[in-house]
Amino acid sequence: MERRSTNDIGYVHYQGDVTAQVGSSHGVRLSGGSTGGVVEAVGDDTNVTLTLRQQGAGGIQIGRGSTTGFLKIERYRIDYTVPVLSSNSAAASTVTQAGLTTASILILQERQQNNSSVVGITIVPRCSTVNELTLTFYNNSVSSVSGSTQSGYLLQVSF
Amino acid sequence: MGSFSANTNPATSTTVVQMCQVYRVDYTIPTLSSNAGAASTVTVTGLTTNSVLILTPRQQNNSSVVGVTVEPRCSTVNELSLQIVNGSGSSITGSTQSGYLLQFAF
Repeated sequence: MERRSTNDIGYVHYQGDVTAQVGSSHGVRLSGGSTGGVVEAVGDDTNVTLTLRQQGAGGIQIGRGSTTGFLKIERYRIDYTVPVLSSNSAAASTVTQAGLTTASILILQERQQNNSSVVGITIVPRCSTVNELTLTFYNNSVSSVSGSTQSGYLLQVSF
Repeated sequence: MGSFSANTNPATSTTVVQMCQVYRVDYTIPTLSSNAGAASTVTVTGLTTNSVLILTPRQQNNSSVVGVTVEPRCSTVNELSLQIVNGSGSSITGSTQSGYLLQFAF
C-alpha cells in the first residue's frame, strides 16, 4: 500500500496488524488486506463480541456522507395481543417496552404467523411515547379473526 | 494471546453498506375512500434507487381512523415514493403527517 499519512502533527505507520488488550481475554485488532480494512474483536474464546461505542451523547455515523449520529441498535423480544378483527379492519394497542424512544426507527419481525389459521394479518410498529410501543394491526383477509397472543422481535435503531 | 489469528465470528457478511442515514420526512395523506390507495412523491436529497428504506410513522397516520399504511421506496435519485393505503372501512380526509425514514445505501 503506497498511501501514507501526511499529518503535520505526526503519524504512525505499521507494517502489520495492531492488537490491543493482549493482556486480557478480549481485545480488538486493526488489520486489512486485499479486500479492505478490518476492525475486529479477537480473543481466546470461540466467540468475542465487538462493541462500537460513542462517548457521551455523541453518535455513530456510518458511511461517507452520513450525517446521522446513531445512538444504539437494540433488539427486544415482545409479546402482544392480536385483537379480534373483522375482515378488512384495523386496530391499535400499546405494549410497554423499556428503552424505546420516539426518535427511533422500529422494525418488527414476527416469530410466527400472526394468526394460526388466517393469513393476512400485518403489524406496523411505532413508538408513541417513551417506553411505549404502539402496534397497529391490519386484517387484510376476508375472514374475521379471534384474538390471540403472539410474539416477535423488535429492532430499534435510535438516533 | 500472541499470534492468535482465527476468525472469531463465523457469520461473514458480504454486503458492503455505503451509508446509513435517517431523514425526517413530512408527507401528505390524501383523501381516500375506504380500502383505497394512492401514491405520492416527496423530495429527499440523498436517496438512491439501490437503497433499502424503512419508514416509521411519528404518529398514527390519521388522527381518528386506524388502518392507514405507508410504504416507502426510492423511485428515482432524491425522490421518495410513498404508497398510501387506507385499509379501513372508513373514508379519510387529507392530512399532513411525518415519519422517520431509515436508508441503507449500497
